[in-house]
Amino acid sequence: MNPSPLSAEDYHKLSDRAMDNILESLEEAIDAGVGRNAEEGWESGVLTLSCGPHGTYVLNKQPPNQQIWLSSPLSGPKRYDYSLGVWFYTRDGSTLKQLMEAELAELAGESVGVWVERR
Amino acid sequence: MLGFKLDVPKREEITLRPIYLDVQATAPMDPRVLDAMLPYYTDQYGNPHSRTHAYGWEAEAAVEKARKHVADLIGAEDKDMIFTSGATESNNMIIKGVARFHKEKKNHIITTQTEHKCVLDSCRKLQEEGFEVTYLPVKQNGLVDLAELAQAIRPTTSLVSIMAVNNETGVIQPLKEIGELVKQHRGVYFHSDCAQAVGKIPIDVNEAKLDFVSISGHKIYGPKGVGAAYVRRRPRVRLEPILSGGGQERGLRSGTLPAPLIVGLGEACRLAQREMAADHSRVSALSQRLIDGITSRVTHIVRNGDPAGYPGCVNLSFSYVEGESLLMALKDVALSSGSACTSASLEPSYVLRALGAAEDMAHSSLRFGIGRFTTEAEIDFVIDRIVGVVTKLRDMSPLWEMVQEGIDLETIDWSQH
Repeated sequence: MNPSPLSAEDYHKLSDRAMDNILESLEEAIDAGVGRNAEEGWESGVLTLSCGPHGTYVLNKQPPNQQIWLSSPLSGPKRYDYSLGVWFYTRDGSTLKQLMEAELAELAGESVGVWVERR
Repeated sequence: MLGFKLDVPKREEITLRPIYLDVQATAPMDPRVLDAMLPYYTDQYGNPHSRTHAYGWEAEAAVEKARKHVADLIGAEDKDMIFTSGATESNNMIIKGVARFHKEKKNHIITTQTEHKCVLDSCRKLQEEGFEVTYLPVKQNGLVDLAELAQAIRPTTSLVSIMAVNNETGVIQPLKEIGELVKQHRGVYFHSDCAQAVGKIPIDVNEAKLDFVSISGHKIYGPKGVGAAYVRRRPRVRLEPILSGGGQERGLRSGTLPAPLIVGLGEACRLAQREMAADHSRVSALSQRLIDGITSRVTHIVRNGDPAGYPGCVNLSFSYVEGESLLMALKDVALSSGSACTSASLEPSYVLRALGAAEDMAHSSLRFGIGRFTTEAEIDFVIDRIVGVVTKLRDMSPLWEMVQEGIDLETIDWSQH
């Protein structure tokens, strides 16, 4: 299933919002002490979350494909498209929010709230 | 080594240059800082953002090392530091950025009347955008009144911006007490323009509960054209960036980082931390020598600003002597009357006015800047010159004559042309 294309302006607005919300979620979680030695980074449009010995998450926008790309140290690479209000992985329909929350909860040993489309 | 012939004009003869006592305007670069920078101009000249080759990697490593040096000087984490083109840019970025980010719920900013022009002008620009700004007055010694500050904070205040050391008078504001006060109000951020303070007096962002700090390279014997901004990450403080681009420096300040300048700033900070105590005691001794030397031989002198301020900045007003004639007569000493940034206009120093100095006293003020490289011989020479010039100018002054005769100048009814 191929999502219908967004206007360039909408893509940037939606993906910027998603990246910003994810960054804020990670910062709040780390501030609250969730995850030992976790460190978030935001540099030149690339969002990273290093989880000590577990590895590093990398997220960034991919404007030519209108996607957000994710590299997970647990489950590898995924590309997320936007349609009907959510960022989702076309191969299995799972959302970016679902993956981040599930995997981070596994690593942290407690539930982690991750906002993507909205707070 | 260079690969081409370098044509350097021959120096005609050694001409004596004026004694430099204007370190608040700018300072000579420490030769050790220059040494640290040079390889990054001619040999290791990579762009620190180039990810694909060793030139980029080594430049990036040098920048990150410098970042740590700058952070250490103010007790911050290296990731908290953002490199800018100087304290003016940092002040603009922080004040406008914080105000604009929080403008939905908060539209009030507090600052003082004695801030640097870039802070005052940024606030004025924000007023045009609809923000409200309180410009706190200062006491006669130049210090902020904490009770007045407490009164001024509102539920809609987003930022309090108060400089650590004043560039004209050397007055040191009580950052720790101000930080305590600001922290009692949730959602109010504390910024300090520390351009004249960093590396000279101890600054600790956690002790003073600072959220933002502005740093200038060329005030601490580093290169001109570079500075830094401390932007707290724990707890995170948010601001809207001024520069858009590739998202460098956490998205807050896009633009290629000037590796050699940053290496210079880092080295200047590293040296300043190491030598702060020694510099401070030397500068204090020279400062006392200067003040005692002048005041023991000349009367009717007013020291502007708290005498417990930074000793390397001494602002003196010489009654009944006109400031410009003083400066004209002191061509062999490089001094400033009022701040360097207002030297193009003829307006009297607004900082001195805020301290309550009368207009004529503000016009007859001199700012003596003592730094790491000032010598005792220079101070002694300056004392003699000042005493000589002030005495001569007073001898020519009809006002001085009247004062000597015991006439109270306040009783005179002057007529205009």
